[in-house]
Amino acid sequence: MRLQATGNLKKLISGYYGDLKKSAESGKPIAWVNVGIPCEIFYAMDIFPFYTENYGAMLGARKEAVKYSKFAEADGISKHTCSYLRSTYGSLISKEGPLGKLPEPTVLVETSNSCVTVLSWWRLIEKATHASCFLFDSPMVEYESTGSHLAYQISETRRMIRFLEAETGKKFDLNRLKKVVKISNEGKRLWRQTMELRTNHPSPLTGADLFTHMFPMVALRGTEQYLEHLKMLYRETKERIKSGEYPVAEEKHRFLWDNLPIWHDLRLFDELAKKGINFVTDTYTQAWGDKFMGEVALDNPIKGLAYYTGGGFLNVHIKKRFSVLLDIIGRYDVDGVVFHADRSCKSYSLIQVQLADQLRQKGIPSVIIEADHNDTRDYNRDSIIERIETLAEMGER
Amino acid sequence: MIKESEALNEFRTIRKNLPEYLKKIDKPVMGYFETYVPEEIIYAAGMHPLRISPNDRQIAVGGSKIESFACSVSINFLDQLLNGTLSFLKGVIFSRYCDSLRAIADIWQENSGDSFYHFIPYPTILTVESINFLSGELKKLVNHISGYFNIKIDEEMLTEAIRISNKKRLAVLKFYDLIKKGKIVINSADFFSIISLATIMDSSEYTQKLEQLMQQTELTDDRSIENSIKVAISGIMLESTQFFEIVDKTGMRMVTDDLMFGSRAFKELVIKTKEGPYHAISKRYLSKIPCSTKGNIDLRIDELIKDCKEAGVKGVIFYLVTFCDSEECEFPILRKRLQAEGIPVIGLEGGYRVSSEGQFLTRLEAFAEQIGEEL
Repeated sequence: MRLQATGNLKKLISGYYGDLKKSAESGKPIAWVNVGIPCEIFYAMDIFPFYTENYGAMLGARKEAVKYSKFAEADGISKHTCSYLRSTYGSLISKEGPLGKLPEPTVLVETSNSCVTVLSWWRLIEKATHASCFLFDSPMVEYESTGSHLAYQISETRRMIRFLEAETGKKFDLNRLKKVVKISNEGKRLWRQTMELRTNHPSPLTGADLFTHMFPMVALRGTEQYLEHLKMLYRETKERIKSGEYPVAEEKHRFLWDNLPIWHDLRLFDELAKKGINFVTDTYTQAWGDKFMGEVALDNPIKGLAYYTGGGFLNVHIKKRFSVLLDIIGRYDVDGVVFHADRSCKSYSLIQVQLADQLRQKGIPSVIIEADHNDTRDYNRDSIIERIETLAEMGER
Repeated sequence: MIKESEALNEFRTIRKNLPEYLKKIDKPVMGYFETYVPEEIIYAAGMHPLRISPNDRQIAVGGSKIESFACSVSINFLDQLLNGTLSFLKGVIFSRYCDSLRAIADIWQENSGDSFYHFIPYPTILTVESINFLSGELKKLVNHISGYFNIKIDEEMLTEAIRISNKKRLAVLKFYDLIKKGKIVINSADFFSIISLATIMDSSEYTQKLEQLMQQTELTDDRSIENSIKVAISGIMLESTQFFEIVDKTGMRMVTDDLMFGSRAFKELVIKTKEGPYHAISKRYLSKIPCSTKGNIDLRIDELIKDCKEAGVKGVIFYLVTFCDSEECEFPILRKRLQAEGIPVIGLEGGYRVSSEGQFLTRLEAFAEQIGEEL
């Protein structure tokens, strides 16, 4: 009962990396960007956006992150730092990886809206590549970007466009951006609708499904292939409900996953599904949902993109994080929360004990498991399964 | 002889009995954790700005409220907030300094009850727009303090606070300069004690004592530790007297530093601008020699190299607090740059306090021997 969209996803991913190589060969500008940067602007300017986190996740999923991290560690980078940083930087300086030597960036564009570690990561890339670098400055907000903060985010978006024009020679065209944003909006709508289908009992998708299919949401927003893929995913998910063919037919527990997945062990979700535990929602893919990356008004797309850059999931304070958590627990009828304390994502993980305490006060059970999204060393799968099973047993009692 | 200096003994006593000193402060005390929070605003509010430093107590409650891979300095801060050590504060002010401290801010916001809490959304870059944005945020901070404590803070009070802080900065910079030039010879532990107190003590009192100390020591002809090996110490929150004592034991002597609460906290003054004090303060804090958490590595390293050359430093000791991602990434870059300049560097890693004195001592002795031979 495999989703056809999963087969299509492989084509999308290989197409994306194929386009990266083609861009390098043809001289099309390549921007190395990090995940908080709005890719719509890059597609509208005909600049290829290469998402380093996405590349890192690929290394993780292929269980190759440690191999490349070791190059970074040999260069003096501590094992304690983010494994996205280590694995991608290691691949860069070793000139090795699934794609071979990574294509050189024309420019580097980073944003501070996810974590402070990004700033260090990009300094290392900047030193290794000598490419011009732009920092999209995004101070934290309580709930959302408004007032002077939004004005600042708009000015940063415009400053970024000026930088891209100057460094790549590509001209920005507002009408072209509107066309890209229109496609991006349609895809976002489909993504939201697909996520909503997970409220069904049983859920038509597993945790692994959405983590896998978030790739186009991260890297391809505004492209035709992104839209086609999301249409396919939505259609197939709906068909599953109609036909009653569910991935976890005997869904005894509807759990929520908080944080990045463990990319090197997405099969963990399959293992737990055998025991009737399905992850019907998560906070990570919600970061590309309507609360943090909703549709953008076409009459002023720069303002809309700036709004979501400023109010990104990791750029807001705990009160919003908690309110979103409560909201999705209710909407998806969640009966247990698994907090993945991800050693490689401090900005996501370090408030989880507090969030778990607050959930406990509301009678919502949770468990904290510790792992690393990319680094397979020190990974204790048995202990993690045991802890999640214990959470399930608590619910049964 | 500097050891007999009355002012130095006073600094030593305050550092050793910090809780006693803090108890005697006769103003409401506002806490902050890193040197991007403008102390001028707290002074203007008639309060005492206190930079919270890690204490020596064993971590208790704080350790159970946050994952173990947060840096130990942050865990210590959280512990102090939650266990009541900091209950004498009227409130705390945070900014987004690093990912660990940002989490402490969030956790404390949820546990602080009715006490004053403020988070400054802080820009990372220096542009006209970022200065204007921060100016606006600092006005919001002032309005929050004014409303919460029912006090008036006007531009005149801010200007006076700027004057006091600038006077302190000038005194501290003079102190560094005298040490660099060898006109003051002081061991590392005393140097650390004096500098760390600049953001803990009352500014006017501190400036007065430091000026008094500099007057006395400029007159001394004692040079008993003059032959020790000159080093610089780099890092962020290295706040352990014990560590500096170890450095002294090895025959090395800190003559300049690159610490968050050290030279980096004082190098720029608030310069009057036509846009007013908020703009001037914002410009100063965004122009600071940046910590590694702010991304501009080269500026920090350039400054460290310049200081090393001016002070005739023979080596750099870099102290890394485990789980500080920013420093963990910056150190390899810093090491390469220093080595290219012919400046030997040793990297040490540990927590907020020294837990393995023997190990540090052995490594530092070896480093002292290495750089001593190169003299």
